[in-house]
Amino acid sequence: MLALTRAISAALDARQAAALTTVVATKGGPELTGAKMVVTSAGGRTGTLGDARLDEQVLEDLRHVMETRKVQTKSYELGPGRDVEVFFELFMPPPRLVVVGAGHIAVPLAAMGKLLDYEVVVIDDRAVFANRQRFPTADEILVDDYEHAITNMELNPSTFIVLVTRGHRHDVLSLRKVIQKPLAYIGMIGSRRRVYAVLKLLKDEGVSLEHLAKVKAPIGIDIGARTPAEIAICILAEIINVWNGGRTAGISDEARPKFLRALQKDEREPEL
Amino acid sequence: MSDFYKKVEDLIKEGETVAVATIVRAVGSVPREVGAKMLIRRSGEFDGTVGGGCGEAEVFRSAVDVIETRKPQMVHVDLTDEIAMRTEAVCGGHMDIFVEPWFVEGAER
Repeated sequence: MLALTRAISAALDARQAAALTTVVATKGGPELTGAKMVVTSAGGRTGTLGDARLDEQVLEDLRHVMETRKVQTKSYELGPGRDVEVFFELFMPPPRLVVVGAGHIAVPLAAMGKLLDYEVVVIDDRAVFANRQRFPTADEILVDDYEHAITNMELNPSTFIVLVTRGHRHDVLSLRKVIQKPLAYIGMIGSRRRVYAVLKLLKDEGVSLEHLAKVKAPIGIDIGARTPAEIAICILAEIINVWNGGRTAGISDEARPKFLRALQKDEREPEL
Repeated sequence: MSDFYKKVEDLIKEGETVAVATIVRAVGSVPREVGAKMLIRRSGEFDGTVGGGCGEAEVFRSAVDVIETRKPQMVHVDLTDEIAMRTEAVCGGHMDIFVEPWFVEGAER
């Protein structure tokens, strides 16, 4: 059983999330109760629940369990009259805020992110924006091409990505890299028109509506924010709401049905 | 990793078999949430809680068995019945607590 605890430690050291899954009840068929498997957000596995098909199903469900971060017991049918219950226990890396674009909003966003005890990473391809003077408390400042920086980053279900770049071209490049990854949060700033243009572009590239629907855009919750600091609060409020399972609707929750309808009809612009 | 499993790891590395009790299901008003855990050793020492007076005695009894047999058990704790009322452990719900052995394969019992 040391292999299991070691697999969890190794995953966390590599900034991946891990789940310890255990069969806690068996009905019919061979007794599987007590069997354990560790699965990681990178798709790694250690151990088995004693049934190859069950292992696969559990791995498939893992992403959803990690996104909701809910410790829970799930039932699986293995055959006629054969059921098992599997308990999921999660091990999450520390929450990390990745600020893509180091402009005006990024400054208070990064500072407040530290106040919330997140690990904060700031990315921009312009050193005059992404530097220590502007981001004295950030854990990491990457002066790099957005696409390249994001590609090399370990993204996991404890990662919040905030796209506040200077142009929608950069948003597209960044979003394309992360949209299919298991993330805690992905938000993108911009007017409804700009946001729709980005989503439409990705949809035309073949990204599924299901994935596009996860993007919180326009970003944040509506508190009438105006200044960069206020906007940073409106974004972080949404992140806290998502991470802690709060019940406040975001600005995107109102826009999303309209976007999805327009995307489905392949409209160039949504009716807003 | 969580401190809890670090502790489990440290103990089983020394060859000890320990019991880990976890609330895997809870209905109604219960003292602790699903996922709450408790480590119980053969010596009776423990760490963590699955709800104190509310059913913990049963978990202890089960843990002794589990450490001995190295077979997991499910303990059903009903906090709604009359007996619970008499013992003042009235919480109003019920919960399933999975009690399982942790050990290093090949180590003596």
